[in-house]
Amino acid sequence: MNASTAMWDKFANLSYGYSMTPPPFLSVRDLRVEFAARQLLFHRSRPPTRAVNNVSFSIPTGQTLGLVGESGAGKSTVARAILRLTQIQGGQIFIDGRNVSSLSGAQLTEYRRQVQVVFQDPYSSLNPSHVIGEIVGELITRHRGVRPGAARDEMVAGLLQRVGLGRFVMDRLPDELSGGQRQRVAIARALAVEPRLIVCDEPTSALDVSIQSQIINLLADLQASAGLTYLFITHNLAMARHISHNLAVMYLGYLVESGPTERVFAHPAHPYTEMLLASSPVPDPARQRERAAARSRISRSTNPEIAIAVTSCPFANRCPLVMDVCRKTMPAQTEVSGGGSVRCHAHATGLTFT
Amino acid sequence: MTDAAKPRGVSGQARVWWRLRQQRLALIAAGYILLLYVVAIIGPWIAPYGPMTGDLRSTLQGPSIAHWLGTDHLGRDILSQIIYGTRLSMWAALEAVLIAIILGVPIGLLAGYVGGKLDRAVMWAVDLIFALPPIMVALGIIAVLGTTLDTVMAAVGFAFSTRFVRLTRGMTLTEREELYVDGARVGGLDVWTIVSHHILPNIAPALIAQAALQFGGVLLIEATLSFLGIGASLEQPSWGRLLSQSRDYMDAYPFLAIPSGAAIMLAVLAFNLLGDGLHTALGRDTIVAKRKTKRRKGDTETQRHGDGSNARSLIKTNMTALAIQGLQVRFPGAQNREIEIVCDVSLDLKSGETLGLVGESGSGKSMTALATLGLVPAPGWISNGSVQLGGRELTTLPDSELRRLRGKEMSIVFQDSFTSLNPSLTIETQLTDPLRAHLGLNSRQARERALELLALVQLPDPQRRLNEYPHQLSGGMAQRVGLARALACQPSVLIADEPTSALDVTVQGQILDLLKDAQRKFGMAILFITHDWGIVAELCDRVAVMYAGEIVETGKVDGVFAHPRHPYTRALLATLPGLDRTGTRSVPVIPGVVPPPQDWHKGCHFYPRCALAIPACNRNPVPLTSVGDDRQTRCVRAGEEGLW
Ligand SMILES: Nc1ncnc2c1ncn2[C@@H]1O[C@H](COP(=O)(O)OP(=O)(O)OP(=O)(O)O)[C@@H](O)[C@H]1O
Ligand code: SF4
Ligand code: SF4
Ligand SMILES: [Mg+2]
Repeated sequence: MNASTAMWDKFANLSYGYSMTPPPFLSVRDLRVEFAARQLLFHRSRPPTRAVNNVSFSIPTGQTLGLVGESGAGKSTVARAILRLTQIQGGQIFIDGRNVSSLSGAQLTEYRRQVQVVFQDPYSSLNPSHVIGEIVGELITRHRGVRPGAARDEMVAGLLQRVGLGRFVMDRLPDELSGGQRQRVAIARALAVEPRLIVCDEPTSALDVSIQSQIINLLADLQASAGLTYLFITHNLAMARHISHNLAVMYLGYLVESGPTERVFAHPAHPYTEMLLASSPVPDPARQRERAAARSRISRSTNPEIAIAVTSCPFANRCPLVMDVCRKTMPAQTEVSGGGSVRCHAHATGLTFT
Repeated sequence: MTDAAKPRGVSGQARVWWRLRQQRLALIAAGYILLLYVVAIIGPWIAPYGPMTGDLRSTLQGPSIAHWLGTDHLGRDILSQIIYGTRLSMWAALEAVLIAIILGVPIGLLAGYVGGKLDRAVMWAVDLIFALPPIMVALGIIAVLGTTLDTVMAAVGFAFSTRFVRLTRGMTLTEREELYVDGARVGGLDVWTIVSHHILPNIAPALIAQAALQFGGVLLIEATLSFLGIGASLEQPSWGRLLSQSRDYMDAYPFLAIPSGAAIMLAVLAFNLLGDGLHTALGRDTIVAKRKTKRRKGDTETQRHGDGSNARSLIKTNMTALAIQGLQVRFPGAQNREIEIVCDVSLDLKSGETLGLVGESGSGKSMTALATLGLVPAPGWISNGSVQLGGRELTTLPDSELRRLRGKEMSIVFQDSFTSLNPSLTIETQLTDPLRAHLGLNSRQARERALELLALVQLPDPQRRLNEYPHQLSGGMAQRVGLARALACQPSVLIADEPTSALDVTVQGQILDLLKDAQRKFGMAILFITHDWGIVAELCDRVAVMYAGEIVETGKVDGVFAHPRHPYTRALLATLPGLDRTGTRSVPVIPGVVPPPQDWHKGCHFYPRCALAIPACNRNPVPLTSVGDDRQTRCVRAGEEGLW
């Protein structure tokens, strides 16, 4: 208990006040990603799915941005765009002020040294036919030119130790490890290239509750010791609250709200954020039943089946505060007092539904 | 893989061995093939006569002591010819298959991985060649290159390489979607390293199985070509050549065709059996597990829908819908030991009631659910205990009856719908196929019903989604499709194995409301497996906490939350981050992990991680004891004053 408290203190030391925000390490400007709809033979072509629409955010060096939102909101797509795993149709991605959205060849390889990933599913993210020593060592060979052998084994053992694993796992297959151990391996692999940004796409949601807190503590500790910057995607708002300096909320491809974590939790500016907060179950039967009743009233009063126009606010068919203007024009991104921004017509008028 | 499909601690090798041992026929076939190759190598030393030495005084004789299989029209010993023929036929087959693999696999890997124009060009060429029978392709090449045996087998190898291209490409396409491939790309590895080093080892088992099958095909073509007089020359006795010679003496001496014909037939059969056996035994664990899950899922698929009230008469509210007593599940472990992964689990579930089953992965929650349905994955089995559904004992029911029951009375939602959806079929097909098969709906009705179901689980834009494939869905959407399939059945007992853990909270809330509504309407009992204590708090009437194969605490939800009576429950509740717990930012942890089943202690299973452990805890198995109003706990210190 005490050890972990100390860990969080280290973590808290890193959170800068708004007046002294460090320069952004990652910034994304007007990111747009589309997936072509499947072209069936003899069918007229259909418009592409807009997975990500004009998304902009930035993460100060050494901080964590929590990215939350429902499934299909485009969180993973944003992550994959930053990782250069998917083509982008518009916008730019800057790392340390440098535009990386169109790198290729040697420059892309160099970029891959700076940005690594930890995926949600530790069962499919590690090659099932490679031993752990190879999984972690491979990137050392690729990026640091250390051939397989005793020297590389030492480096691998060092990395494994940093994530709390003994060197005995080096000749195990992923199949022989537990989910939490695998996720530690995935983190060690990411650390192997000494990256500066780690994209964590729901790194704990496949893990057990007691293991989740171990991984979160590990990530916080690594951030404190190596000054890592995190983009932390999660479903779990309580988790997001713990780990993030800033929070960004996505809905159907749009970034609908962002801002300092405490502000977003205390004064959510977007109706969707409010709904998210209301829907997160708390481990307390009496309170949770109350919250559930309130939640049901809100979500039952809305009908997600109504089709929405392309120009409309994406939340219009579920929003309890919907107005005529919402169905006609997409709300612009506006500043919120207390930090951050929101896309909502009602925000200016100060309406809330609670 | 879910903890259900694979008990931890049963090693991968043990499983492969177990599966291989199940393949008796394949083993026999492998032995026979080995024998053929041994004969091929040592042939010249064991053959009683030379292949060409004939004795014109004894032509076309039947089997005798001197000539076990008789002689041919030139008085040559048939057994010796078959032995020499083995050498030739086996070598030729090996040559052709190797050529097919060397040509086909790399092309398939690249086409599948790189995709785009390269893939289209390759597939166009392959389809063209594939449309022709391999023997025609081979004949074409032979016409150009001549008819020595080597060119013939190269031609056959080329013709067969298209099969490897197709197979390799198909598997590469699937494998490319795996996260470890993305991981390799983010790692900056080049294309060739990714396909050869990462993808190939994972598809190799299937390729090996395929190669064994192709051997049979190649052998047949060699025989056919030799029969037609192409390939093996007159002086080289191959099996096909021998068979071809016997043709001329069909009337005078029909026996001549039997030895060579049998040699060909047996070899082809052996290769086919081996290929099938390897396919089953070597199939990568996850692949096998996926297939199993899918089948299980199919078993529980809807048999009826809509009113559901007629079948409901069986279950009356407040009747015990499901009663599990002393359930035990075991798996074979290393050194012929048995590993118990569910130990003495007892649960009662009344109609209209929701029981939460919580615990870490590997604690046996999912296996308990599967055992309840009679779906313990092989090689595990229910070693003890009873499961009663509406008063009817299930553990002794034959499989066929269980299957019917599963469709009608019980249904299960698995935690990972991605693995239960077929990547190559559209959502529409996967939703409507069972509806049509079980409910006899026509395709228009089935489509309408499918749309209703998708609307029920709030899948955005259901019309369009129907035509999409699983890989186009995000994780949460796939789970909703899986949920739609299970809810269509409106069962009397619904086992939900973490059905909402992949969903975002707003939709999770809606799904929970939906489950509550359905329960109110039909009075079904829900066994809700989860590790989210927030959901337990909201949804469940009672809760059972599992740890390392045992139920450690059970009781009414409010009581357990307010005053946990087991150290594990207490520690777990303390690790939960709260939405509103401001101030401290500490995340307390329970040290260590759930140990694998073979390491479970004889005494209390929580002993190694427990903060309250005393020596007495590790001596004997700890029984589940009653501690007050509808509460039971499994702890030797449960009765101590001041501790709780
Ligand atoms: N390869 C693809 N082809 C077509 N559409 C895709 C593809 N991948 C994602 N999409 C679509 O893009 C949108 C955003 O998906 P994305 O996976 O980014 O969501 P997410 O927020 O990460 O969801 P989750 O929380 O479920 O992981 C969805 O509409 C999805 O169907
Ligand atoms: S813009 Fe309108 S519909 Fe959209 S969230 Fe704000 S109030 Fe709701
Ligand atoms: S029996 Fe002992 S070790 Fe087990 S939970 Fe109770 S106190 Fe802890
Ligand atoms: Mg995602």
